[in-house]
Formats: sequence, structure tokens, C-alpha cells
Amino acid sequence: MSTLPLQDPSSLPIPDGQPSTKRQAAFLRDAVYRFPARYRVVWLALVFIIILCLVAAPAAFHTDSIRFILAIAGVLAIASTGQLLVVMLGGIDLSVPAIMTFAGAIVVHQSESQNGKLVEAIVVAIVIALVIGLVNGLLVAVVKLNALIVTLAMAGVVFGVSLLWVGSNYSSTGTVPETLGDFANSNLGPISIIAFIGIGVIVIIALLLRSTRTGRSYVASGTNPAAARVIGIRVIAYEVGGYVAAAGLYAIAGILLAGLLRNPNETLGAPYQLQTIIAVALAGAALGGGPASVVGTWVACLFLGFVTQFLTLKGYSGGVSELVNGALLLIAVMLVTVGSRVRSAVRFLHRRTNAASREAPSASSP
Amino acid sequence: MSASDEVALDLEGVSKTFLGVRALTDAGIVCRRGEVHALVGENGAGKSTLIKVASGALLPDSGTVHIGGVRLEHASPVTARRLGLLTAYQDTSLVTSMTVAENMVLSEYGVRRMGIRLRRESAAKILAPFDLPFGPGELVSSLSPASRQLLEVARAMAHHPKVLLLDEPTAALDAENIQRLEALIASSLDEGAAILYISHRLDEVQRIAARLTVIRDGKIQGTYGRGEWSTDDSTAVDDIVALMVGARTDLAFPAKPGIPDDAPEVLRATEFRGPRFGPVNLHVKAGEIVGIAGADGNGQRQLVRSLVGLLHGAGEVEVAGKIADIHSPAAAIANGITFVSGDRVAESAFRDLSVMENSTISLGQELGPVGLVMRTRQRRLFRDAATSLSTVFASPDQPMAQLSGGNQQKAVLSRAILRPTPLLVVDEPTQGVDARARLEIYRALRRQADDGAAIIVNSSESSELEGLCDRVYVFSRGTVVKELTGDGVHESAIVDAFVNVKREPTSSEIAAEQETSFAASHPIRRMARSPWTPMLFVVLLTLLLAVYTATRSDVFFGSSNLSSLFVLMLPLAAVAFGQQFALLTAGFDISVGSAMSLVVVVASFWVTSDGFGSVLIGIIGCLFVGVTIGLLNGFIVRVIGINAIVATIATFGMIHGVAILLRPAPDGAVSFGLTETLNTQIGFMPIALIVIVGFAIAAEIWMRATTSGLRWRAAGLDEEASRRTGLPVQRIKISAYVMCSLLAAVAGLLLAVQVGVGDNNVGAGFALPSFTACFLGGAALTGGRGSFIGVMIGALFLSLLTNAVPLVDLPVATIQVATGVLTIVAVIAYAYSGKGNLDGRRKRPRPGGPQAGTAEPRESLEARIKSQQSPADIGQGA
Repeated sequence: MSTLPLQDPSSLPIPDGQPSTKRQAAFLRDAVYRFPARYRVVWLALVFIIILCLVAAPAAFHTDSIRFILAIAGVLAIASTGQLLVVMLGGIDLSVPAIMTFAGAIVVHQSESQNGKLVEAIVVAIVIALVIGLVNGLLVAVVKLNALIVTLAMAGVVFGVSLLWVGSNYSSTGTVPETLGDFANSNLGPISIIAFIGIGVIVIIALLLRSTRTGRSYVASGTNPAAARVIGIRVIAYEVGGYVAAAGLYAIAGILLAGLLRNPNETLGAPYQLQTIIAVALAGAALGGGPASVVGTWVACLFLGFVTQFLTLKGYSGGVSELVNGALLLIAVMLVTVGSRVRSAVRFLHRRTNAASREAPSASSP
Repeated sequence: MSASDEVALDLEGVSKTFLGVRALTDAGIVCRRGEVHALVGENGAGKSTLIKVASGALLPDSGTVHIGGVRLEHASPVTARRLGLLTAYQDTSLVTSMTVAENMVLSEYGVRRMGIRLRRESAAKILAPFDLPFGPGELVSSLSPASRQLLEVARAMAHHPKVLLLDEPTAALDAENIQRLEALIASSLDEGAAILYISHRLDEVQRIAARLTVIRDGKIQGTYGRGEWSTDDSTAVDDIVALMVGARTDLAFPAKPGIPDDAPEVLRATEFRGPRFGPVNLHVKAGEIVGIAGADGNGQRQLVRSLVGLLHGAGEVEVAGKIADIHSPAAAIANGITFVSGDRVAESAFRDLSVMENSTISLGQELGPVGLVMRTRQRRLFRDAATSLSTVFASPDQPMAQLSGGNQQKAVLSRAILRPTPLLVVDEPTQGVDARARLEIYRALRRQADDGAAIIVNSSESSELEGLCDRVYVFSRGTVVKELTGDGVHESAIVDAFVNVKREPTSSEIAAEQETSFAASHPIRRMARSPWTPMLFVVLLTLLLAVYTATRSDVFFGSSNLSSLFVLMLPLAAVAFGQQFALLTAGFDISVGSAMSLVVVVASFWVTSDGFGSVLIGIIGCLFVGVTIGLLNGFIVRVIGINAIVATIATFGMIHGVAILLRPAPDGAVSFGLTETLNTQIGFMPIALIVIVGFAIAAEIWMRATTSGLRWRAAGLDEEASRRTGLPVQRIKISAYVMCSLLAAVAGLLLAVQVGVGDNNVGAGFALPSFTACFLGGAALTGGRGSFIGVMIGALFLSLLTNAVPLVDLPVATIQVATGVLTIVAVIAYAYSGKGNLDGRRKRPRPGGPQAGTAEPRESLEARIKSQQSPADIGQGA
């Protein structure tokens, strides 16, 4: 990665009918550009933590442990995809725990812990989450307020409203309907059903962003809103849409987590504030907005699942886990910030040496 | 006469390269005491780079700068100012949200005292000799552009500089003000200053300059004494113009085929006017390339932007015979107008997206059915466009940021080629583009025209317009002063037209000025912008709540309830004061909640005995913890350069982690004598209240009436202007983080007294209210605003809410809802009252997001190249 291909006309896209080796080389080169270093870091991190667990905490690979890791990673992945949508727009969402907790609470409250009312309760929870997201989006995109302040304040409002509406017990028993609990706790072999849902969400969002014009316009709006506006993209609509979709994803994550725990309480979403931001940062998203790897987000969630399980198995307290999480966020952001600065310096030097060697007679070959 | 020969400024062999682009090559210039030395050159010739090197804003790659015989060792504005070199910038270094007097005081830093206390009076005294058409108490944002420029110059002169750099000082001035400026220059010369005068208007230079240096393409073309070019000799002027323009470039422009008379008219704009331009009448035929020329900043940019829906113009615009309503870029496209911005970084390139993505982003159905993007189709379309433009890249998936400027520009232009519209508007088609790519861009534009498109090209390069355009409108002061057609389209004719223009303010300028003064004097606007308005609002709210609560509850006005209210308010007030320091400098700290928790935990170890000595040491230890957190935050945000929001979210987690490690469960007992002290009363006033009010008043006085408070505000309001004025911006901003965490530590101690036990999560709930209190007091995330007394009242209101809600039998959760709603309302209220701001900047509160600036001066080439140099895949510079 440190050496960039020389930019000369011979490296133009290869027309059809060329020898296959050349075409393979071109394919490889494209792949390198499509998955730059910042997207690859998280895979390395995952390999590292798996090796660490194999060596130091093999208990992490027991079936129950794997199921737990995958279930937690699935919930985190769904919520993190929402956070990713917001971060791609250059925003940040601090209402994740509030919406997740609220959604879980509504499901318990509206269904009164009965299976018969489950569907209705889920619909209510998701619709309310979408409305919260709409308010966030309108305040950020139309009124042009700071995303952080809006979502932080909204988190307070949602927590308050939640207490006023559903109380702190949610229903007489305080448990989710059995159907939801059983569903969320079911596994296919060693893999939690939640992990499959997480993968499904990731695949859908990744395809939307990569292979539809709406998705490409969404990415463009986040990368450079002014330029997107110039070419006629309705940036504000995409911004509002992003916050709405994100809130919907938080709600789904919250409902599944409530099912997994069966007895949700007001701390349900608490860890997901920092963790979703870490997952997004680890996946190589630039926190000022722009393209990001959705698949990388899943990998980051898996990584965080292993980290949490490792720390638990090693008997570290919650303090260590908070400390590790905070440090991970800083490191991830530094890798993107400082790393790209270093890379652009290297690139600059590289170009200069190239220019110098080209001036030297017959010293260079493409 | 020997004194006048003394060299005051000496630049020798200065070279500067930006990412491979040579901005200055071995440039040297010598300015002597008591004379005006003019530096002339075309747009982008290297004038501003030379100024930045001389004023210490830029470190040259090689070469030396001597000011008054002393070598400028460190490139920093304040060092140059200490040596006696002052600069008046074209786009000024004034903080527009401050008054004239305050700006005068800011300029004192590190240079010379002008008096602290009675600022307005002393500023008036200092400004009196300059005879300026405005008073020291006026806001700079309410001044006309001309007045701002005069102030910028007068402010520099007030320091009695040895060397004075004037960068295009007359660009915004009318005839009367130019006379005023020339009088100022004369008086400064009498004091023995050396003046380096940058201009492209030769008539002024002829009047005042003793010497003249011509610069072109970063190289000095020669220096001439007054005798060598007399004022009346018009051939001499032609020679200077020839030197500025240089030898004819031998670029082979595509042939101009000529436009048939019966070609249909694609654009007709009648009586078209808008910000800083008009009224103008324009028309463009199919197949015609029409240029817009003029010196930078004469309304061309505004005209172009109004045509494409980025600014609002008035008048009639017809596209292909139909009246077009262009209220937004999307509407412009719907009406058949495509725009290619010249500001690649800000407005056209998606730097983190691939070249292919950048080229095909505007395409619709061509890419695939039902909104799909099919990669094979995308590649094929992209390849066609890339081949026709000879775009060079390593892979279609290569990020835009890695391409050269020329190839980026080609990718941007591909959009217009892949999706042609009747009218194509191109702003600065070849800025930062190498010679070969230029030709290919010119050819592509000509091909588009041959295919029937009408094209408007705005360019600051006259040679480019000569080679490319069938017809050229020359702009000056917002109107067309000349229309060149056919063989008349010549570089020298274009330059001549705007160099030798008679200056009289146009009607649009006069209108703009009148509007400005109207807006400034409008009482409602003025009230909306006053710092006391939000406070008044909160006071009313507080009283209302207090009265309502008193009617519903008997105990509310009881002295024990009031006393406990004030004690409860202490931690919140302290942490909100801290947050206000951060917000004042446009900083941001969400980690205060964790910092408070950590201090509570630390206090449960260190502040446990009642012995005065050990308690004192414990308290000092806690404060030290606060300072350390502040330094950590300041380091991460300002030195490493990570966005404040993310950085403090991360430290929030880490600090909380440490707190949990120290006290996994609530334990330990905090005890010190303060508990009783805080609850005692003097008269009916609890001590707590006196402490808070005292601090608020002291901090308010510091902020509003001392120079250091002024500097902090300036650093928050406008970082770039502050840096140009020589303020230690970095030090101020890091200090603000330290101050914030230190006060969070104080808040933690006060909280520890209340909870009495080491609880690791007790401060978490304070993060949001700390912001709410500040916003209620009128603070803004963009920095420089707010009030400590306002913060205090905000904190009082929030505490009152906490106190009153149970008393009136409302559920406790109401507090959270109310706090959240109030935060948003306060921020919205501020955003709207702030819209009265006249500096025309709509700062988008998004980290590093490009500003959709309307009337801002265009970024210089250097600045743009520098911004390209900065990390490609993050957008969080600020």
C-alpha cells in the first residue's frame, strides 16, 4: 500500500480481450483502492483479538460463549449501522441508548407481556422511534442545529417521556412476551438468530449504499454537502432520511436486546452510546462525514463482542472495560486522522522521488 | 535624506512551494523608510504569498526576511509585529462581531499598550487623527466593506509601524475613501514608515508609489524607480501591463469556428442583479463560449453564482426562450443550467469517493433500471468520458484526492459532458491545473460548444479568456464596463479595461451600503443581538416558575428550601461556568460529567479526615486531577487535532473507567468542614449563593472588561483573524479546556460534599445540564458568545426546576423532559436571533463541514493547496 501505482496512461482501465493476467492485475488494483488501509485495520484487529482469546481465554470459544458474543455483536451491529448512517452525514447521534431503551420498554408496556399483542407493540415502538428520528433530522438538517446538542437533548427528553409514560416497571411482570424472548434467544447451531438479523441489516444497507443511485447520492451528500447541492442532490432530504432510518435501526436493536434479556430495564441501552461510536470509528469511517465500510462495521462489532467477553472471562471490572473502550475510540480516530496525514506526507515524498528519478536518464520503468 | 534610504524591509531569495506548485521563486524586494513601494501583478502572480512570508504567516522554503535590519527567525505574525511590521489584509483581520474599539485593543497583543480600562475613550483618541467615518463603539459587522478596510489600515497605522504592508487596500473603496486612504498613507510616510503597497490598479500606484516592482508567476520581473515611468506617459503604463501579463503564452487553444448569426439564443438575462453586482444584461447563443472577466472581487463570482441558483438574483432570466425560475441549484439544473464550480475542494470534488463515482454521480437512467447503479454500465460510461478528456488515473476506484488537480478537474467536467444541458456555466475552469490538462479542458469545452451548448466561463486569467472565448464581458464594481467581441478579445484589452476603470460606486453598492446601515440601526435587530436578551428571557422564566411553584406549595419560599436550592445549585453552576469557558473559545467538553465523578471518587480517598491540613492537600490533589484532565483534552483536541466532540466522548469513557476502577461500588466517606459552612447564612443569604454570584460577576467582568477576556472571545469568534492579529490562539484554547476541567473538579468537590460517598457515576447527569445552562445564558457552539451571569441564571433555573417539580406534585421525569426541550429551544432561539448577523457568514455547526459561504472572499490558491495537503479522508479540521 505504501507504493502507489504510477499515474501514467498505460494504467488506464484495460479494455476487454486483453490477456487475463493483465486483467487480474487491474482487478487487484481496483480492489486495493476499494478497500483502503483504513477499512482493513478492523480485520487485523479481529484476527488479533481472536488469537488473544485462543491463547489467553479459550473459554471464549465454548458454544455458549460464541452464541453470546454473536448475539451481542448482532445487536451492536444493527445499532452501529444506524450510527454509521448518521456519521456518514458528518453528524453524531447521542440518542442511541435512549431510543433503544425506549423501544424495549414500549414493547413490554404495549404488549403487557402478552404474545397476542406483540406485533402491535413492535409496530408502535418502531413508529415512535421513527418520529424521534424525524425530529432529530429536522432539527439538524432544516433548522441547522448541531447534531450532538440536538441528539443529547433528545436523549434527555426521550428518557423523561419514557419514565412518564411506561414508568420503570413497564408492565405488571416487566418481561417481554415469551415469543419475543424465545425468538431472540434461539440459535442455529452455535450462531444466534440475532447475528443473522444483524447480517441481514448490514447486507441490505450495504447494497443500498453501494448499488443504488439513492445510496450513492446519500454518500455524496455526506462526503461534500456543498458539492452535492451544486449538482442538484437534495441534501436536506437525505440528511433527514438518515436520522429517521438510524432511529428505526436503534429501535430494532433495542427490541431484540430486550428479547435477549427478557427483563429489560432502564440501563438496557447504556453501553451502546460509546460502543456504536467505537464500532463506526474502527470501521474506518471519517467522523466528518463521507464513505465508510458497512461490512467493516460488522467486523468491528464482532471485535468489540470478543473484547467484552475477553475482559469478562479474565475477571476485569467494568472500569477496565470503559477504559479500554475509551482508548479504543481514541486509537481508532487517531489512526484515521494522523494515519492519513502520515500517508499524504509519504505520498508527497514518493511523488517527488518519482519525479526526480524520471528526470534521471532511463532510470525508471513503469 | 539619509534616513529615507534606510532599508526597513528586506526579502532575499524567497522561494515557496505548495505541494509541487511553485508560488514564489527566488523573490526579493527591498522597502525603504518613508516611501511607498508598489507591488503589482495579475491575480495569482504570488503577491499574497510574498506578503504572508513577509508578515510571518508563512515559513518560506528558503530565503530570509529582515525587518528593520533584524532577521525574522520564527515565522509567526506576533514576531513580525514585534519587529515593527504590521499588515492590513484585503479580507481584513478584524473580528466582525466585536466593536471597533475592541478590535483596536486586540491588536495590542505583544506589541504596544494603548490603555486597558477606558477602551472606548482611548480607542477614540487613537483613531481621532485618522478621521474615520464611524465611531469606536460600532460593531464591525455593521460597517460597510469600505469602512472595514479603512479600519484595518488605520489599526495597523496606529502602531506607528516601521513597515506597513497594505494588501489591495482600495479594492472595496470608492473615490472619496481612496482620498482618505491616500491621506493616511501620506501621514504614515511622514512618520518614516516603509509601505509595501500591493495593488493591480495602476492609476493609484502612479499617484503614490516611489518605486514599483512587477511580479509574475512567482518571479520578480523588475523594480523601477519613479523616474523610469512617468505619470503622464501612457506608453509606460502599457509597458507595465506588458510586464504583468508576460510573454504571450504559446498554448494552442482550440480554433474558434465563429457563431452563425441565426444561432438560437440560449441565455438572456435582463436587468439581472444580485449581491454585489448588477444590473447587467447578458445573452449567450448556442455554440458560443462567453467569458466573464475582471479583477477579483468585482461581482463576477456573485453573478455566476446567482445564475446557477447558489445566490438569489433578481431580474429576468430566460433559458432557451423560457423564463427560468432559479431559486436553487436543483431548479437551475431542471431549467437546463449545469454549473462547474472553480472551488474544487469545497464545491465540486468528492475527495473521498472514486474518480469513477465523481464522474458519473450526476447520471440517472443511463446507469441502470429502477434506480440501480450497475457497475459495468458505470465503468463503460466513465471510460468513454475519461478517454475523451484523456483523464489519467491508476484505477477507476482510485479516490479523487489522490489525483492531480488537472485530472480532478477533468473528472468534474465529465459530469457535464456525460449529461449535457443547454447552458453550461464554468467557474475558473483551470485553477490549479497543469498546462497539458488545461488544453484538454479547453478542447472539451469547445467540443461541448460545437455540439450546441452555450457556455459561460468566469476566469481571473485573462489569457485563458482570450484563447477560449468568442466574446468577453469585462466587469468592474458589479457591472459590465466593456464587451469585447471577435478579434477584440485580447488579454491586454481585457486587463486594460479593468485596470483603467473610472471609479464611482454603482447603484447596487450604494444600495448595499444603505441596507447595511439600516439593518444595523434597526432597534429590534439590535435587541435580538444583545447579550442581555437571552438572560432577560431566562430571568422571566425563572420568576414565572418561582411564582407558580409558590402558589402551589407553601414550603417553597421557606428559608430552608431556598437554602437547599442554592446548595444544590452549586455543582451545576460550577461545571456550567467551566463549560462556558470552553464554549467561549469555540471549544466543547462533554467529558465534564466523568471528570466530576472521578473527582468525587478521588475525594472519597483523599478528603476524608477533618484535619484542615490534610483536607487542604486532598482538595489540591482533586484540583490537580481536574487540570490534568483539561491538559489531556486540550492536547488531544488542539495538538493531535481530533474533533472536540469525539475526543471528549472518548475521554468521557476513559475517565469514567478510571473512576470505576478506583471505586467499583460506592464507598468511602467524604467529610470536610465545608458542608456546614456552605449551609450557613449571612442574613437571609446562604453563603453558597454569595460564592456563586461573586464568581459569576468576577468572570463576567473578566470576560467583558479585561483584555485577556477580550482575547479569549476573539479566539472563539474568529480563529483566523485572531491568528493574523498575532494572538496566541493555541495557548488560549488549551487554557480553556484546562479551565473547564478545573471547574468541573470544583463542581466534583461540591458534589462530593453533598453525596458524601465515593460514587463512580454521580456526575454523569451533569453533562447535558452544563450545556443547557450555557445555552440559556446565550452561549453558542460557534464560540465567543455567552455570559457568566447568564450561565448562573440558567443554572439557577435548572436547579429551581429540580426543586419545584416534586413540590407541585409532578413526576420527577418531567425535569429531564423540560431540560432537553429547553436546550433545543435555547439553541434554536439563539440560531434565529443570530441571523441578524451582518457578516453574511452562515456558519454551519458541523465539524469541518465546508461552509456554504455567500459573500466571502475566495480562498487563495495557496490556502486551497494547503487544504488539499491536509488529511484526505477526514473532514474534521476545525
